[in-house]
Amino acid sequence: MNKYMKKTLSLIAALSFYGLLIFVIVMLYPGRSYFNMGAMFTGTYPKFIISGFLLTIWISILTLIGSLIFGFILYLMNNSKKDTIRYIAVIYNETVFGSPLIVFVVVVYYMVWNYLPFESRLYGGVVALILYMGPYMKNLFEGAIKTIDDLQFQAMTVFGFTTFQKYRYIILPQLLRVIVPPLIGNLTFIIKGSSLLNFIAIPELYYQITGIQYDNYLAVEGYLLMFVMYLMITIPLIRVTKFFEKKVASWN
Amino acid sequence: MELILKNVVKKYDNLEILKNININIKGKTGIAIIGPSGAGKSTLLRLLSKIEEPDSGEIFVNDHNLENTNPAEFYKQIGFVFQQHTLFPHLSVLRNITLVLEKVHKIEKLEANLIAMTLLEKFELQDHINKLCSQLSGGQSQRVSIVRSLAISPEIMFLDEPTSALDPVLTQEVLKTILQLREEKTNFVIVTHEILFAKKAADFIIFMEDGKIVEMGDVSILGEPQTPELKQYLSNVFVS
Ligand SMILES: Nc1ncnc2c1ncn2[C@@H]1O[C@H](COP(=O)(O)OP(=O)(O)O)[C@@H](O)[C@H]1O
Ligand SMILES: [Mg+2]
Repeated sequence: MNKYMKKTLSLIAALSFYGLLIFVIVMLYPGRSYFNMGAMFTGTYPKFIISGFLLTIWISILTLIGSLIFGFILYLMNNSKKDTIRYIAVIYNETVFGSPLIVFVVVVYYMVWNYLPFESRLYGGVVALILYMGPYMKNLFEGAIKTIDDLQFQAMTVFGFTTFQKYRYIILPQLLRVIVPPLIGNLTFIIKGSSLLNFIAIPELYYQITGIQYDNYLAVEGYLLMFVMYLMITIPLIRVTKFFEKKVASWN
Repeated sequence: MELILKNVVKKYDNLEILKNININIKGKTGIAIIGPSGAGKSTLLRLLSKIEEPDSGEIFVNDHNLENTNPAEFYKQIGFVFQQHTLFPHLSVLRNITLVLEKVHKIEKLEANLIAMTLLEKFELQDHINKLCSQLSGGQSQRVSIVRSLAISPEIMFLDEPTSALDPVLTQEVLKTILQLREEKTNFVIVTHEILFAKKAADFIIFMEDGKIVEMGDVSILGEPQTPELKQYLSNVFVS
């Protein structure tokens, strides 16, 4: 694919996203009898939508951080010299890769979290997401560590680089380049996946808008609104990845 | 250069890999360490360059007593070339060299570029300055690695079988580069299997077997080996 085709395609992608936004705004024009988007924003609805939106973002941030840590632990376990530890990690990873997120969340929440002495529904949901995302993050670490071989570490040392310089000029530029794109991929996965927490009655975006749909019977409008609001988070993230890939590629 | 080792022992997992090594070399410029694989050649080189520490014994390299030398300071004064090239894959050939000069040796960007360009030209690598190592052949990458180590004007260059990962044609190209080190008056210690090359490039030979130095002396020992072990080793390598 040449440069111009790529540029054109990304232009089309951007245009269709902003076109969709404009489309929705136009539909906000009051007094319509079909696609009555305005009706999604009357009374106390905006308050619920915004609180759902913010909660979705909060859940995603917690899950991102938690699953990075858990994923790193899984990475260490997976590379452990002790057979037992390695087997546990392998079995766990395969269980996760083999089960749908929704099933996993429900099982973890109702069959494990419920029997633990914790009150919070929200953290139960977040823990379920973290447990699910761990193996995906483990894969990401695995890919990243491989990019820098042992010999390169030794070479850095015998050149006399300080630890800070090693990370700043040699390790991080290489790691970020391979880690950031899949990391943002995982983050979008988390954001989309967090919508499933409505199954355990956590008032995130999906849950809140569903509530409004039950209230005003505007099913299509509700889903359209969700569609746009999720894209509002994920598309900028995807853009950031692209920007990052270019920026870091010339970072030295 | 001056290398003095007194009763040096190195163990891995309680196994003696270097057994009581004693060396006293003064006023040599090129030292070649030869011997069968597993003899402990790389281990010796790593001790000389303070990448690893001996379990006992003393090591003096020029006027550094390695035991109480700060490693980071010592590393700034030596070069080390590994079996495979170690270019940083995200940086261009030029930047690979100038990064070390600028960040570790605090040389101004302009001067660093000048040093790098001058050397790359001298070693006929000027056509590749903007390439990444993924765009170079194995031989070219290894030559750039050598130039990168040379750029800091090291007291001594250590090379650990720098051609063992290369095919015969590329090997010759890299060996030519190492011969050029002599013209640059750079002291070097090289571990190599290339006996003919050692004969040409070195002025002192150390022959190791089984963690011990079996024979050492000037290059003539390659023509007239005194020990049956070296005789045996040379007959094998010359045939193959
Ligand atoms: N890091 C290490 N841990 C354990 N054993 C090692 C290590 N490095 C080298 N050895 C052992 O030390 C011996 C000498 O190795 P080396 O110095 O690499 O030999 P050479 O370079 O002559 O082939 C070998 O038997 C090797 O297995
Ligand atoms: Mg070796």
